[in-house]
Amino acid sequence: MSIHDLCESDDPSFEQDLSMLLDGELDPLREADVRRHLDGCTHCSRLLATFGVVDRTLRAEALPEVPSALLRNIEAALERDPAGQALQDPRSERPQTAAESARRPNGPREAGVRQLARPRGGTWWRSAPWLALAASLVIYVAVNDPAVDFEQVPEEELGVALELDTIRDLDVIANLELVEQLAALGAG
Amino acid sequence: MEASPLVRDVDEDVRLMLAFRDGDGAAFDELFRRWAAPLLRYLQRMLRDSASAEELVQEVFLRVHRSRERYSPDARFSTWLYRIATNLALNELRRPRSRPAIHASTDTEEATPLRDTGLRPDEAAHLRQLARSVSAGIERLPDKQRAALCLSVVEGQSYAEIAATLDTTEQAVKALVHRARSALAANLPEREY
Repeated sequence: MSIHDLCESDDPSFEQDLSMLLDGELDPLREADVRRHLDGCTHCSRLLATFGVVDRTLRAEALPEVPSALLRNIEAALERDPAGQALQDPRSERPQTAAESARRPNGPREAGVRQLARPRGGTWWRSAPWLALAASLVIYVAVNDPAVDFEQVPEEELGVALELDTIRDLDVIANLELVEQLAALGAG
Repeated sequence: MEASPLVRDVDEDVRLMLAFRDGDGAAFDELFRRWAAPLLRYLQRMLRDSASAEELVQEVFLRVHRSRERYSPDARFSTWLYRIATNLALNELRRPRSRPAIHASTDTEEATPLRDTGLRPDEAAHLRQLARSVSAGIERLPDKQRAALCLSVVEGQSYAEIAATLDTTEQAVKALVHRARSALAANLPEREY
C-alpha cells in the first residue's frame, strides 16, 4: 500500500505523521516518504499548513513578565524552611493521585511559599464534628418537613411558598446559632 | 526579546546548575532569570490562572533549590524543570478550584499578548484572531494533551522527554500531541492557509 493510498483512505496514522514531521520526530526514511506525498497531495499540504498555523500561533505568545517578588518570596521561604521539612515529595516527580490531591483542597502546597490571597474557611466543622452532626440533623429535619409538599403548591401561591422557604431558612439559621451557643457553653 | 529556550545553550543551564550545586548562589539567580518567564507562561497555559501559576513557579524553584545536592546532569536541565512543573500543575488541576480562571474568556486581546513582530495592522489583527481561537481551543483540551502540545511546540521538548515528564510512552505522546494539534486546527477561523 502506498502512502497516497493511506491518504485516500483517510488513515489517521498519516495525519499523525504530519504532526511528527512538524515536531522533527519522523525517521529520515519516513520523512522522505511523507514529503514526496505532500508534493502531490493538496489535502495533506493544506492540513500540514493548518497545523503550522497552530504551532506558529502558540509560539507567538509573548513571554509574561515575572513579578519581581517571586524571587524574593523564594529566598524568604528558604530562610524560613531551608531544608523543606514540610515537603511531601522533594522532587515532585510523581504526580499525586486524584484522592491525594483532593485531600488538601485549600491547604498550602508547601511550607514556606508565600501564598497569594486564597479564600479559606469552612473548616469549623473539622474541629467540632458533633456540632456538624447536630447542624446536619437540623437541616435534614427542616428540609424534610412533611408539612410542606413543594409539588402541590399552586402557582398563585408561589409567593407564599417562597415566604415559607424564607421562614424555614431563618429557622434553620436560628437553630444553627442556638446549637453554636450551646456548643460554646459546653466548651466553657 | 528574550531568547527562546529552543535556541538557548543547553550546556549553560547544566553548568549553572552544577555551579549552584557546588555552592554558587548567583548561579541559582541566573537559572531563575533564564527560566522563570517561560515556566510562568507554560504554567499559565496549564492552569489558566495567573496567580496559581506564579505560586507554582515559586514552588518549582524552591524544589530546584532544595534538590540541588541530588542533581545529576543525566538529562537536560529544562526537562527536569518542566517535569517538576508539570507534576505540580497536574496535581493542582485535580484540586477543587478556588479561583476563577483568568483566561476563561479570550474575547479581549489582552488575554493573549503577542510578541512584537513588526507586522502590518491587518496581519497583526489576524494573528490576534488566531491567538484567540488557539487560546480558546487550548483551554478545552484535556490536561495531558495541553501539556504535551505546549512542551512539544512551545518548549521544544522531544517526545521522549515529554514521555518522561508525563510518565507515559512515546507512542502515547505522539497521540496526545496530534490530537491536541488537530483539535486546535479544527477551531481556527476559516481562511486559506
